[in-house]
Amino acid sequence: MIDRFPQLREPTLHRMLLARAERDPHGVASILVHAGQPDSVYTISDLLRLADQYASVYRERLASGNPESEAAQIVVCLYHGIHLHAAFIGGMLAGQIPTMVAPPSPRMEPEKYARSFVRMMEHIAPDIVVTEAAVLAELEARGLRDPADRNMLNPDDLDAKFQAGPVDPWNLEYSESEADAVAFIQHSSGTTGLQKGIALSHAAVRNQLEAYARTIDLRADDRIATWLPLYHDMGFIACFVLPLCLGIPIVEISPFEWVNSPATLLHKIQQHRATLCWLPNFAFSFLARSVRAVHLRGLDLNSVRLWVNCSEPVMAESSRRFVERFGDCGVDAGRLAACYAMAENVFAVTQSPLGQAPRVDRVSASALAEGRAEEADGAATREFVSNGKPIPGVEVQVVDDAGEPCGDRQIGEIYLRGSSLFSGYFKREDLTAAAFLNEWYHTGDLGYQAEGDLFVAGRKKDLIIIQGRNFHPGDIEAVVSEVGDVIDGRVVAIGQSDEESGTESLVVIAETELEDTSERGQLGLQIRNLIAQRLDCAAGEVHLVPPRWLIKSTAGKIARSDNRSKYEAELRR
Amino acid sequence: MSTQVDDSVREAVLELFLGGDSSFPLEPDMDLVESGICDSMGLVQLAAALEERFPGLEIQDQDVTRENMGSLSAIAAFIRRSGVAG
Repeated sequence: MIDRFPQLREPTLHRMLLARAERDPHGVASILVHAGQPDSVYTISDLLRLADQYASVYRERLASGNPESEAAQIVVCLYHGIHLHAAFIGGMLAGQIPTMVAPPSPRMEPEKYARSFVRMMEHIAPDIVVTEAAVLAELEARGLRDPADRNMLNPDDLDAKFQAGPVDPWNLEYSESEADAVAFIQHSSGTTGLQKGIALSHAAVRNQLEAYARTIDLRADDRIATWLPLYHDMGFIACFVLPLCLGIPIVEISPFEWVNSPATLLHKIQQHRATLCWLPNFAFSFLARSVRAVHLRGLDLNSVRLWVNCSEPVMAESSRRFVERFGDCGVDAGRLAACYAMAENVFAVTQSPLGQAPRVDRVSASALAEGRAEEADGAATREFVSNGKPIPGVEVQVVDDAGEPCGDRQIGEIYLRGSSLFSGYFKREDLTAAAFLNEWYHTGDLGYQAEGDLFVAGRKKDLIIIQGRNFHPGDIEAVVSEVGDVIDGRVVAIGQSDEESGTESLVVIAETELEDTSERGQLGLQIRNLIAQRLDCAAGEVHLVPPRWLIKSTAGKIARSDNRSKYEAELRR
Repeated sequence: MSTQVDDSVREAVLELFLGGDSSFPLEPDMDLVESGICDSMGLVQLAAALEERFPGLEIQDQDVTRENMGSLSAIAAFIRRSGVAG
């Protein structure tokens, strides 16, 4: 890979970007798609020049504040656009530690976002925040921000000057960093209790880029199409850091636009002849279900050599539907791959081989309940899709409750170690210590291996993942408990794998004394309302059950796994 | 008075998001996203389901908005405007 991408010789990511610009200063870095406008094309020179302007503003602001020797944290919280890319890279050029944070969703109430933003900033405690002027105004209007705070800036403060022509990369001012210094932080998404800053060194990221480029046989003429947000590891690494450092153009659509107009991604793939596309499982289902006849006319997706399904449990049904819907447009099962990834390993851990549909394993449901994945046919079976073998430099081990390695087809917790593993949770040594044992990282995911292939079969911890967003069931249960007529504390929230939507569906079961049909109807609606308002999420199913329906453990806690079984037996639609 | 269009739209929403529970208190002007019946991706899927339900209906991307798709009454009005349901 180093022969193909010599910038991999550089020890740090920002030096890789400079080396890329030196080799090909006119190379296209990003093609940004904006609804109803022509696409904006930026070369690596354009991008570095703007990043350089951000770097000088950071230096200025940090110097006038508190000149500590420790690298500063820079939060980048911007919408789709060149400033999002440049503000982040500027942080690395300045020798600081940048991190991406989600900007407000247009459908979120400003008040709610402002408050959660402040909580998030208290949690991260950054030295500089780059965000939209509208977010700053919103904070100021609510008295949540001191207008004189010099460490908050928006792109307008930069007075950016765009200048055409190639940049002289090594003449830009940049800070040398050690390869083992923290390059950036990825924040795990989710409700408050789940947010952790994952610190990644330049070396870990470089190792991941080299190993993953090899895994997907990355070529200089590849082109990536993406709608993925950059505050999530799949979008951030596969569709931002990897292509930028290795010189692959990115065709990028705003995540908000994609949700309303999913076919735009397909049209941009065709227009720009994109070759690689990463999508979470639900997106395969969503595209198959929501792209209508009008979009399919003349659609040609034949340029895509690889569609990678990643970041949510991969469902065979979603792939089938996708291939069925777009088969006539040049999609075939052999161009699909499944990947198991996590921010703690920068990104990919394993991936299925190129050129063949990921292997599907059908196992007995009853043996599964006893922790074994026995091959079986017939009705009482479950399908798992293989995530393939570890990428180079990564080792995977499946371990039982006693800490002993599992045999083939025995379910246990997935551990991993290797050259792209994270350095630790930023300033949280307690969490770091709890996640590691003898250099093996405990993922909390359950799975099994068969003939060297890894299958992910669930999670050790209760966690609900809906369309890539993580929810702690306890947070949902607390919200539902607030609704009058729900018996306090008698609520359970579970994530139910849903083949229709290709993701988990939120199932809420709440106890109530109400018996009147219309009152119960209103209560169901109130529960949905509150979940939507507080958590920005639509419940898939809300079930009202009589008092004492839910099972409690001997310790008096709601037993989620017992209630899941009871739900499956009695309520599941 | 509810028409065939109203009933059919209601049925589509109940089927897609509410497990077909016809007793659900779904009011014509209720905002589907704000009230937690579905999210904005749900509206895009609803558009595809409506095209199947109303032959001849073709919904453009720019028409998939909260104004057109956000409630039962908005959807019914949109379908009537598009002229397919007579």
